[in-house]
Amino acid sequence: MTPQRPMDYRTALSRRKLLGGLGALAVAVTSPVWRTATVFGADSKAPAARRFIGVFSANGTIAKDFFPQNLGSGAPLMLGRILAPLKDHIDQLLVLKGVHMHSTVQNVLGTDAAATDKPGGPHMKGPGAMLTGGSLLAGSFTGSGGPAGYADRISVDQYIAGRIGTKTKFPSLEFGVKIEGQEPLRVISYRGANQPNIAVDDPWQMYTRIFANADLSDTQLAQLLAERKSVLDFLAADITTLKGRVAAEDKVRLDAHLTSIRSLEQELSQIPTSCTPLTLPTKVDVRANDNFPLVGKLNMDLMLLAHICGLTNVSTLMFGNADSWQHYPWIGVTDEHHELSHAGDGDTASNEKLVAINAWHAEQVAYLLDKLKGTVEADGSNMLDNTLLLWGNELGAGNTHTYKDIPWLLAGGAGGYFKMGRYLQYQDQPHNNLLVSVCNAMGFDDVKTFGIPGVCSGPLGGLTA
Amino acid sequence: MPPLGFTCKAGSIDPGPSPMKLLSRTQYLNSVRDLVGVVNGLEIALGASSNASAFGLVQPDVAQVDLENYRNAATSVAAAVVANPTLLNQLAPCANSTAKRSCAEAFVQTFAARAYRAPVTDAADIERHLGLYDLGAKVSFAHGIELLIQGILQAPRFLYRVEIGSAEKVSAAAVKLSPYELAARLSFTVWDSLPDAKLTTAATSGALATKEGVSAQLEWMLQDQKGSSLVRRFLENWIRLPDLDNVLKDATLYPQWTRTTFRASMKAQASTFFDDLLANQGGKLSALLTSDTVFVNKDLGSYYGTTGGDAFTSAHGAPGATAGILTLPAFLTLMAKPSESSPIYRGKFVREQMLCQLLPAPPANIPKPPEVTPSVSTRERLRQHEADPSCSACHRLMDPIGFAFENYDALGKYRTTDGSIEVDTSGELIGTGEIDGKFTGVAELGQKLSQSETVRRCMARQWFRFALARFEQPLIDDCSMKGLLDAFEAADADLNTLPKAIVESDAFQYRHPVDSEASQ
Repeated sequence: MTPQRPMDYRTALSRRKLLGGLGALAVAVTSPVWRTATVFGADSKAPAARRFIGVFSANGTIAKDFFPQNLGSGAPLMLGRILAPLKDHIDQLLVLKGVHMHSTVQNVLGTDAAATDKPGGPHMKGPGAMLTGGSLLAGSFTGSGGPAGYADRISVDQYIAGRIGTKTKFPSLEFGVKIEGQEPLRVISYRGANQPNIAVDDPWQMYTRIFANADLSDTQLAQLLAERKSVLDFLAADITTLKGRVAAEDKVRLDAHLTSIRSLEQELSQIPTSCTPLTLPTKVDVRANDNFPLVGKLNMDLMLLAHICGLTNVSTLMFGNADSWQHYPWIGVTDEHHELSHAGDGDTASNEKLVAINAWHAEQVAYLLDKLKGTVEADGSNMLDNTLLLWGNELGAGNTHTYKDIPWLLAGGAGGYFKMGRYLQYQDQPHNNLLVSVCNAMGFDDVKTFGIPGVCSGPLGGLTA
Repeated sequence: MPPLGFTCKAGSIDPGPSPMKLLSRTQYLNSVRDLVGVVNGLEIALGASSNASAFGLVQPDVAQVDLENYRNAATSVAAAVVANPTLLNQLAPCANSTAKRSCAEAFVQTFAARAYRAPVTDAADIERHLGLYDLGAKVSFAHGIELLIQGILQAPRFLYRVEIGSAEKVSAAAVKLSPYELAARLSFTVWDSLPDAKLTTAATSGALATKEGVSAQLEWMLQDQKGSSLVRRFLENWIRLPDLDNVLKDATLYPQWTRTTFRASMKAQASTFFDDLLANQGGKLSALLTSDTVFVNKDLGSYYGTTGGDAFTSAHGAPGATAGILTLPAFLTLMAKPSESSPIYRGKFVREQMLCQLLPAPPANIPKPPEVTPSVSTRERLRQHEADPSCSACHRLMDPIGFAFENYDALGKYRTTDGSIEVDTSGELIGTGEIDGKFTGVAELGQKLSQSETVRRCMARQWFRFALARFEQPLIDDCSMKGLLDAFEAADADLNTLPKAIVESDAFQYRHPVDSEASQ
């Protein structure tokens, strides 16, 4: 790839009013080619916002091709075959080995993992723990092991959104590509215990959420906003009245409902911003196997645009649900991912296919990084410098279902907090520590622990600049 | 494993917890249909469904995107109503001579009351609703009604099944429900929708004041077209039949699976079997597990060595190869892998869903599975589970049951060979008490299960979970469970007796007093 110079397309952008959930979307006619853009919605004098993006892909990795081989900890990063597509960004990557998801099997570090019988099979436990540092509640979801419920606490993206997401139209946005199966497999983002943000895997639906624009006059728009506001006021008052009458446990649910109402209010109170909505192609079956790359691309574009347009600073993207049963015929892999991931270490043919699948996912992450780098913030810096992207997985390896050696990748400038471009090898560190470091990098020095306290011992060492 | 019996002290009434429930997607759609009729595009406006867990037992708190979906759905319902002058006039009649605002007030008292399943009489409440009308009425009367509908359909009293209870105590732990709350429990349980005019009238008239009165309402509700499918819906949800549409199969091995009509036939076959079992075969649990009645149409004719017509006709399956629900192609397809059978899934269903015995989750660091070689049968490949002690602890509870199903492939079609190897259907039940022992084939398994008290008790539990959308609580719900089980046993495990038995239980009739929960 030739280095891209940030360009300012501001003048080329037409003015559109953005208002989530409004009517049918206007059909534009230009081709859906991504263009380097400039971040809108930010005061050019204000320091660039820090952004967080969480990425998930499924079924573990092939360790020898993900982690650099024969490289000491702290050494400048070298990329194995899986991460090779990210070579243009090598200076802004950190690969972490030895960071395990202890919270899926333990409440206290050092205790016998097998002795703690936590709900859910390994494919279910992983997504629930990846960003929460917690585990699954008891419940009745089965399939892929179980039974289990949703995760038991807030995830790091939502924690961040709670602190930096209050001024944007959406505190956070949760994207997915072909998200199927039992619910705990579908979720990495949690607002709290039993509060999943189930990823939206239909870009057309997401478009309507975030970019549906109305060709309404200012007067019509003002009327609509006033009406929506009135309905929300009505609902808030209704809930308040009702809360005085119901049982304590129901009050808690009504409070949660009210919190989501407040998010809708936040959505309305943001002044409509100028931005160019993406042009979506004709609707396709978003769950069809062969549409996986297209749906992924559209969702990435929508996600990037939402960040660029200042509609959110926090998002997550799941490539498939945990335990993904996706086939990848466009790279010659016609086998089903989960089935393939059970192949033994000696099964070279299957392992080559798994390398190809994981490398394809690395290409997608590279696409995100390319576009972020090509985007100018209001203060002139590029967006990647101000972003922290965390890519994780529900397992270390599919054939052992191990919670150890999760293929973690940190990417972006993170505002300069981490010393990037290195490979770090840890001895048995809980990923809760990584989540603490993520919070610190986002500017929250006060965060000393995250997730289940017994499996957290503070920030991960050796990361900072 | 759950305790074997239920401890019920005579005279102790505890209805157990009854947390507020969000309407299921089906309940939402049915309720809107019953309020305003069919609204085109409503399902799309409501967005992608979040499939609840089995029987809706896990309910997460609503997220922003859920509320956006409710808003979009309410907006499209309201727009559909005002775009149809006849419908608008029917729901919100307003003669020219009448003050428009009083028409809107009457609309709140009728429409909101139906939507909320309770009379709307509080003056402040009505006035708050009319605030929405007033804003819309600046444009027109119709727009005022439109905003009211938007608000009402997003209100928690519509979206949740809210219960407060009456002041009438029946024990320290129980109060009676208000008649409207009881009517709503009946209608959502039996119809998956809100009460109709007849049921609401019964609530108003005091007809629900006694258990007998409630049962009398249940009787006609079950006869009503909306209620006739109740036990069938239970059985369908129990085997997760609604998920059949999302089941993946290997298109090379099973090209027929790519046809929507084939999948629809398989689903309809299961429903037809359940209907017939309940209406014509006596509805006994034993018949559910042993019946040799099969339903054949042209898509499924080849399953039974015949052709079939467009409509389903009943036939008798081959002896030894037909065992009610256990040999339903839909069930066997759901409990199978994309390209092969799955003794594990099938055995797990019997263990967990028919015997109500929970299996621990697989360990986090499983040993590497054996390499797959095509010349080895599925059964043979699972041998590792016997050899390795870390596997066998759990798998011996599943695999030997699942092997009995090996006569059925990934689409539930009868076979005698798996690849090139002759199928071995010898199996074994352990840890069940009275039906432990070796057996061969699924018909013998069905016979054994049909004689098991554990299975009957498990069915009562499953029904409780389905009907009340919550898990039974040990000890607390024991009197309700015991009553339910006694009635079921007394009727020789007739599934048709389950609705009345649950409706007459303390768990259905009463709730905890709100103040006692608030003070906890």
